[in-house]
Parts: sequence; C-alpha cells; structure tokens
Amino acid sequence: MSKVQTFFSITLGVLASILLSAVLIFVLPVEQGERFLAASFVFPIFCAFLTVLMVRGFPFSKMAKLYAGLIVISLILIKLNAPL
Amino acid sequence: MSKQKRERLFSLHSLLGLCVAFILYVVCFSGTYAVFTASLTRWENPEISVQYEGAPASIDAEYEAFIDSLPDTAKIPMVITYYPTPDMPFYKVQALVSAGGPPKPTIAQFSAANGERLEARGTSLSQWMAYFHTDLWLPYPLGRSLIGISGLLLLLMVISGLYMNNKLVKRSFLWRPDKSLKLLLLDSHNMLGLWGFLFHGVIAFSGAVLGLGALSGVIFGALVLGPGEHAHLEPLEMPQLESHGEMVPSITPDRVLQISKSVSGEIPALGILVNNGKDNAVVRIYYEVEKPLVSYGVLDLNGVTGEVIAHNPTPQSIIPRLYISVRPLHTGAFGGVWLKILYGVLGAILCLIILSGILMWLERTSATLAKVGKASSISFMFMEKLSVGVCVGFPVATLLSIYVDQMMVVEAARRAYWVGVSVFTIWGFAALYACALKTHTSLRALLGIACIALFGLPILNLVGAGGFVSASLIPNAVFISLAGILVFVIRKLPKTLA
Repeated sequence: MSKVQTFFSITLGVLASILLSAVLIFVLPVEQGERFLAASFVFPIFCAFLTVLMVRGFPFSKMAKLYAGLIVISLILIKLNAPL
Repeated sequence: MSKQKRERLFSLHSLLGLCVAFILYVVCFSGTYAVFTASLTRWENPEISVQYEGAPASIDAEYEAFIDSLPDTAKIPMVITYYPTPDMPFYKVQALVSAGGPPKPTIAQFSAANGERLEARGTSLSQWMAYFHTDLWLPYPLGRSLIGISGLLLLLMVISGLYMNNKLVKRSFLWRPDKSLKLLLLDSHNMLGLWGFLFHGVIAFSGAVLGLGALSGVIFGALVLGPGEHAHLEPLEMPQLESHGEMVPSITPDRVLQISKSVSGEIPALGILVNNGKDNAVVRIYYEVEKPLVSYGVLDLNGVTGEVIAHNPTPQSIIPRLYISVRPLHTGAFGGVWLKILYGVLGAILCLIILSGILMWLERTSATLAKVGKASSISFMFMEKLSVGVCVGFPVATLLSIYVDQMMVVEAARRAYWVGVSVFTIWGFAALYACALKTHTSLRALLGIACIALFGLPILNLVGAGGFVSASLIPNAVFISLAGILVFVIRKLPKTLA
C-alpha cells in the first residue's frame, strides 16, 4: 500500500468511526446526555480497531468501497433521525 | 498472517510513526514528568511544604480578604477551592476574575496548618509541564484537541503494532543485542511494546477521550442535534437556580467543609462556586469515595443558604461511571505513590519505544541509501538532526530549566512565562547545536550536559530546599542512577559514526 493510500485509509477510518459513533447516539436505550458520553467514549475504540482491521483485512480498493458503504449507511441513518 | 497483510499494517504503523513520532515523544515525556507534579511542586516551592495532620485550619478571614482584594468582586463568575491533602498540605483558591475580557484565574494559597496566606511563587516547572502535556500552552480547546488527536493516533499505533506481531510470546522475550544494530532496535521496540501494550493502550485511549472531549461535543452535537449545536459531555449536570438579580454573599470554604463533613463524612477534594456573590450561586463539592470505577462523590449546595440540592455518592448508570473513571486511569490517581512510580517508568518506556522506532527508520533509510550508493539524503539528514534536537534536546531543556526555575527571581504572575521562555530557548539552542555539528558529536555533547545536570540536582536540592534533604534521599538516588546510566550510554556510543 502506498503512502497516499495509507493516509486515505486513516482518514476514512476516522470519518467512518465518527459517523458510526453518531449512529450509536440514536440506538442506545439511555438518556441523551449519557448517549453523548457513550459516543465520545467508544469513538477512539471504533477508530483504532476499524482502521487496523480494515487495513489488515482488505486491499485498498475493496477497503475504500467498504468504507464508502459504511459512511453512506451511517449518513442515511443519521439523516432519518436528526436534522443534518 | 500473510505477508501482504503484514506489509499493509507495517505501512500504516510506520507512516503514522513517522508523522507524529516527535510530537508524541514530547507529549509522552511531558506526561511522564507531569505524573509527579504534586510531589515536584512541593519540592520546587519549599514554602508550601507545611506540616498537615489531617484537620485543616479555618481560612475564612484570609479567604474573604483575598476576595475583597480582587478588582471587582461582582465579576467573579467562578471560585474553585482545592482542599488540603497529605500530598498538597495547603488550600488553593483559584478565582476567575472577569474585567471586561475573558475571565483570568487569580490564585491564592493558604496553609492547612494555621490558615495563613502562603507566599505564591506562581507556576513552577512541573505545573508548566503538566499544562504543556494537557494543552501545549495553546488556547482551549485547540491545544487539548491536538493532544486528543495525538492520543488517538498513538492508540492506532499500539493496536496496529500488536496486530503486526504474529508470535507475541516469542517476540516478547526475543532480544539479540550482539547480532546487529537493526536487530537490537527491532527487538527492543517489540519487547518493550509488547510488555507494556496494555498500559500504553489504556494511556492512549484515556488521553484520546480526555483530549477529544470538546471536539466530540462539537461534532456529535452538529451531527445529532443540528448545525451549530454543542453536546455537553458532563457526567453530572450542574444544577441551575433561578436568579432575582440580587447580590448576596456566598458561603465560605469553611462552611462548605462543615456541610461536606456532616453530609458525606468527608473533607472535600474541591469545591466549585458558580455565580459567586449572586442569589443563584451554586457550590459543587467533589469528595473522595472508594467505589468501583468512581473515585469522587458529588454534593451540590445552594451557594447562599448552604442547603443540599443533590447528593450523588456515585452515578447510578454505568456510562457516566466509565467516563468519570477515565481521568484517574490516565493520571494514576487511583493508587498510591508506587502506582505513580509505575506510571512514570511505563511512561519513560513509551518514550524509549518511540525513540527506537525513529532510530529504526533512520537505520533502514541509511541501509537503503547505501544500497543505491548514496551516503545521505536531505530528508535523512533532516530526520537525523531533528531526532537529536527533539529527543535529546527536550529532556536537556527540561533538566536545565529546573535550575533556571529555582534560581530566577520574578514576580509570581510572570513565572510561567519565564519558565516557558527557558524551556523553549534551551530547546531551540539544543536543536540548532544538533543541526550545526555532526550528529554523533552533538549527541555526545547533549547527553553529557544532561548527565552533568542530573549529577547537580542533589546539590540543587541541598542548596534550595535545606531541611527537605532527608526526605529527598530516594529522588537523589534516582537522579544519580539516571546520570550513571547516561555515562554508560555515552561511553558505549562510538566516537565517530560509520
């Protein structure tokens, strides 16, 4: 994997984990304040494991498609639930 | 694991390392130093090393004189009172004073033994380093967020480093110092990383959560609540009282102490007074508890009458409890002095891991250049000089600044500024020196300066602290041992590089 591809993998990993953590805010069956706490708590874990497992598991082209899918699904879920 | 997977993880690990190694090194070094801030502050300021038996003296008269001495008592949005502990045998009162612009803190300290106001010498080097570690001395939340991002990237490096090693147990014990420099660096990097990965992972994760708090609130608020909205990441919301616009005196630290003892049975760790002098003043008290995941209970009082508004010895839900546990987990505040020493050692090991990573990159690049018949390249030379300038220059600047901090005579409010000037000036000179001379020459010279500075610390201790010497035998032994290790390293370094 080239340096540019690696850089994009990290950026996409951070972006996808922010959106996944935001989706978690709607899903968790607790008070809203606690949901935000939970999201900020799990975001670093999501980011580290998602990025590392994606880089480990897939070549760049497949990884980019998977990230795109994750980001689009997360955005749709957020859009359906919140004023984006 | 296939070779391709390993290579992909390696490129992730090495690219991240190359981009953030120096900032991570500085953050880790300052964090290691900051672990001992409470003890070092007492050493740096002998006047606050008073005897404290566990029954704090009254400070109301001195406290009110301090508040009255502030420019405009009506504009003090917040007063934070830190109550004495065996580690910090004095009251520290921090009043946020607003005079037109943003509120600025004004600090006063009072003896726990007799309540008298102690001479304030301002921000010492260890306190300067602690703030440098948390905020890089940049405005909040910019500095804090940068630290949070570096914590996140460190976590990525820890996890990718762990996944890269397929024979974890074997590599944890594999050390071949006599084979080659490359193998020595690789084995040291792997061994130290694998032995300490749990601690380093926890430190990186907790650092990321603490650092990214403000940024997370902005991002998640905008995504979930709507554009421009901020989510407040508070495990326990501060109560809000209705205001009728009247000015009434707020309760004093002694009264807060009395109420805390009668309700919780504990001396407060700190009390935060919001809306000082107004009829809607609220006091939040944090006091120590020993419950799973939680080290502080919370007591909210009406800031005028002292009536108890809420009392939460521990939050009921697991999420706020987990969130509250992050800070003590990061600072090692949940154990005693031995845990702090363990945190210090593991923090120093993290610095060594980063250093060995940088050296591996230099060694690999040097070998690649040799293959194509080049002796050096601009990027290689830049990295080589930067490595010495940052990784040796910053510790040297810190060590020499201990002397500067102890010897300079400046007014309390300017002490932080001059400590900062000292650290950055010496660091800058060290970096310039590394650039100007051959790497091995500057490395030996800077390590030599660090060695002399370490040998001199017990003398500084004797001259500066006088009667405190007997209590400083262990630190003195540590300084001399570290200086001895440096002498060994200098002797082992080749006089000329191949």
